[in-house]
Amino acid sequence: MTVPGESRERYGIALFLLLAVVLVVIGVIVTGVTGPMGIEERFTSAVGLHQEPGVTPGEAGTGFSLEGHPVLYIAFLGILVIACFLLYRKYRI
Amino acid sequence: MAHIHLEDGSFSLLWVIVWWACALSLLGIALYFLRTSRKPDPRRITIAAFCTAAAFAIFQVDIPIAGGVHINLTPLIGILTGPIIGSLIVFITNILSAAIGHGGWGMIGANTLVNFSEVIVAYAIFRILKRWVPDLFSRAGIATLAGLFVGNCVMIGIILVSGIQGVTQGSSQILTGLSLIFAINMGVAVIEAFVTGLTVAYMGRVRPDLLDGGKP
Repeated sequence: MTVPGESRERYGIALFLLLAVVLVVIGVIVTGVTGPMGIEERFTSAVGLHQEPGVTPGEAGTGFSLEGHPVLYIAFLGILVIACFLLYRKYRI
Repeated sequence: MAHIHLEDGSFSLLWVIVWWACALSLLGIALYFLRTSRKPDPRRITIAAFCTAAAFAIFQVDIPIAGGVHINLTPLIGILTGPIIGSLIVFITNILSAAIGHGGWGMIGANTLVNFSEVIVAYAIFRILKRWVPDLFSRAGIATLAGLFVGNCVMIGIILVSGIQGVTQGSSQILTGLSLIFAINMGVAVIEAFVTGLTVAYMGRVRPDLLDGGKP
């Protein structure tokens, strides 16, 4: 015999899994139609813009890639560190 | 998940100003509520800082599914911090992302609105379902899917309303193209739903007091 709490938990999990399966199936079908594309490429294609060659971020061999210029990460990290240091000194946090 | 990946110049200046004004108004309201409410809980500030760092980092990681997608963690931000602090987090995340070339500066206003819709819908659904779905994993998962669904709708709405400069496609053609992105995004949203569900379920076990995030 199931208590109402267990029943509701099963209902929640069943609903979530149902939604997940439906969405994955739709996503796979649409991916099959459009083919593999990068995020920017997919967007520019969808709205009718032409992407300039060479702007797609390259992968680093791991299957993952960082967007933007790596030097900017360091530059902005430095700016954030300096800003946090100044705020820390000013307000004596 | 939903994020307008267009460069500066895609929207006309008028619409860039309109979306920035809407985003700044939203932030003004959030700051007003923050200043008029009681002193923020330091734990919540800490969670907000972690959420900002995690969201910024995860924004930049291109997951090799369907050619490349990224997740946002905006529903998790909504569930953990609520819509007021969440609006500030998504604004900061979008500024930092634009600073390294992920989305144009002119798109920050529009993208803040898109991400905020994900935050507030996930927050609301997570709380509304509390009575009917006690299980944290599935409740957070459903809230994430709902948030990302609305976020994608807002993204498409903003692009259609604004129009794209320099293209010959009509609105119906753009809508068709964006609908494909919508479907792929929702397929990948399942991954984000699992990540969010597992994170919330774990936090519910070890620190259930941190899950009352949105309460004033």
